[in-house]
Amino acid sequence: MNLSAEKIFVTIGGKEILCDVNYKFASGKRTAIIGPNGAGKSTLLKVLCLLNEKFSGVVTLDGKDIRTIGRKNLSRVMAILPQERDAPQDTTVRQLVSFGRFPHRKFFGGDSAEDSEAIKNALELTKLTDFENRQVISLSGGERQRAWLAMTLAQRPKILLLDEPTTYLDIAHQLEVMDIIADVNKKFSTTIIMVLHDINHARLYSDEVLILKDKKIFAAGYPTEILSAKILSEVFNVEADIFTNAAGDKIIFPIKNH
Amino acid sequence: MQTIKISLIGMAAIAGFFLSLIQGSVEISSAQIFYDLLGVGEVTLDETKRQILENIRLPRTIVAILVGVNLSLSGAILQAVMKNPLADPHIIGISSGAGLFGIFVMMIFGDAGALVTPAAFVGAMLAAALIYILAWKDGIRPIRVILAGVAVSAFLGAGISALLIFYSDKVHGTLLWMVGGLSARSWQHVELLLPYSIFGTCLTFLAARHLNVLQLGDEVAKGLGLRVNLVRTILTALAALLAASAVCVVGLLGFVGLIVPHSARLILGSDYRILLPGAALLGAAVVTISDTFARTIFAPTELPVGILMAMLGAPFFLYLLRKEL
Repeated sequence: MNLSAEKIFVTIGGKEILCDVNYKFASGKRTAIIGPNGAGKSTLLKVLCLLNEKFSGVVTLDGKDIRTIGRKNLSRVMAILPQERDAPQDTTVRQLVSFGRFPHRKFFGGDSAEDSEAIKNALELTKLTDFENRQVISLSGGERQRAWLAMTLAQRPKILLLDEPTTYLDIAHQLEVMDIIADVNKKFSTTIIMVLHDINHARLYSDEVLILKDKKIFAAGYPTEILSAKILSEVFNVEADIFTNAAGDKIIFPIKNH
Repeated sequence: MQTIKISLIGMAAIAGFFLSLIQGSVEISSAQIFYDLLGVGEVTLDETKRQILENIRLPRTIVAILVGVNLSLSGAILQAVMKNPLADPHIIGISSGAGLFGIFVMMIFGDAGALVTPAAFVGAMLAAALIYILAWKDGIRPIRVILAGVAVSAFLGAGISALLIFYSDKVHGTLLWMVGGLSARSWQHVELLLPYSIFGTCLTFLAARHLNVLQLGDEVAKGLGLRVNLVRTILTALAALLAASAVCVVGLLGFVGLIVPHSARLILGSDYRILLPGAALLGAAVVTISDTFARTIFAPTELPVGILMAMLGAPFFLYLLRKEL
C-alpha cells in the first residue's frame, strides 16, 4: 500500500514542529526516519497514523485521505508501536498479543480461527511462544519490547510504524528487535516506517532513509548513498569516521562534536 | 480457576441476599423464607412476619443488591477511563453532582418523581465534565484527576449541604442523604432503580473489550482503532448514569465503587470481561452483608450503611494511595 504525506504542517502550542513535509513512502520497503532531537520525527510518525490529528495537509493511503478512511478501518491495515504505553500488572504475553486482534473483531463474538492463527504467528515471529503465559511485567526489557511488537504483528498490518523501537535496550536486544522487523518485512512485504536514533541501524536495517532537520526534510534516499560524513556533519553537527567492517558493511563512527 | 473464583463470589452474593432477609429485629428462618418466596416446604408464616419479609426486607435487600452492582460497575468504569485507581464516583464528586441536582428536583416535584434520576444524571455528567476540564492538560494524568475530583466533590458537597439545611422540611431523611443508607427503602425504590441497573449493566458488559484496550494507554488504544475520546465520553456517561441512579435511591453512599472493583481485580485480574461480572456480584455481596451488619450491630439503633462503608473505605483508600500512586 502506498502511503504519502503531502504538505504537512504541524503546530503544537504555538510552536511549529513540521513545516511543509512531502514524502511518498516506498511500499513494501523499510524507511528509517532520522534526525536530531526536536526535528519532528515522532510528530511525523504520529501524523501518518492519525495519533496526531491536528495537522494541516493530507496523508493518503492508496490515494485515499486517511481522515476519511477513519481510525477503525486504518487500524486494520496499519499498526503503530508508540513509546507511551501501559498494561495492567497481571497482563500475560498472550493477552497482550491478543489485543492486536481488536481491530478485526466483531462487536459480538469471540476468537475466530484467523485470530488464533495471527496470535500464534506473532508469538513465533517474536520468539515468545514459550513465554506466552508469563506476565509482561516479569519479562526483561528486550522480551517486553518483543511482546509489544508481537501485539502489533497480530494486527497483521500492511504498514507498520515504529517509534524508536530499540530505545532503552542493550545492544543484543537492539539487534534482536531489528532482525525481527527485517524478517517481517521480508516475509510479508510489510511496509516499515521507523524512527531510529542509531545511524548504523538506519544504515544496516533500512532501504530508504529520510532525514529531518529543523521541521523539514533535509535529505532522503538510499542509506549507502545518503549517510555520508558530510551529511552527518551538516545534520548532527558531528565529525564522523566511516570504515568498512569485516562483513563489508560501511560503519559510521561519530568521533567529536564540532 | 476463574470460574471457581467467580462462583465463590456469586455464592457470597446469594449468602448476602439470604442473610439480609433473615437478620433483623424479628427473626425469620431460612425455611420460612424459602416457603414464602418460592413455595418450597410447609412452614407457615404469620401475617406480621410475612409483611416484614415481603414489604420491608425483600425490597430493601433488592435495593442493596442493585446499588451494590451500580456503584461497583461505575467505579470499575471510571478507574479505566480516568486512568486512576482511586477513581470512585463518590470520591471524585460525580455522586455529589448527582445529589445536588437530584435534591433540587426533589424539592420542586416531591420525593420520588420520575424526573429525579434524569436530573441527577445531568448533575453527574456536569461533575464529570468539570473534572475533565480541570484535569485535562495534554491528556489525563491520574494525580490531577483525583485532585480535581476532590475539589469538585467539596464544591458540590457544599451546595448539597446548603440545600439540605435551608429546605430540610422538603427533603426526607437529610442524614440518610449525606451518609448514604438503605433505611426504609421500599418497592417504589426498586422500581425507580431497576430499569437503570439493567440498562447500565448490559451496556457495561458490552464495553468490556473497549475497557481492556483503554487500559493500554491512549496511543496504543488509538493505534488499535479505538476512537478514544468518543469511547471515553460514552463510558463516562454510563458510569455517571449508574452512579446517579444509585444516589437517587440511597444518597451519597461512598467507597463501594472503590473497594469492590479493586478487590475484584485482586481476586480475578484486570481482564474486564471477567472483572465486570465479578465486581457486580461482589458489589451485591458487599452492600447486602454490610447493610445487614450495620442495621443489626447496635440494634435497636440502625446504623446507616454509609457509615460502615466509610469506615472500611477510608483506610482502603489510603492503602491504595500508598500502593498505586
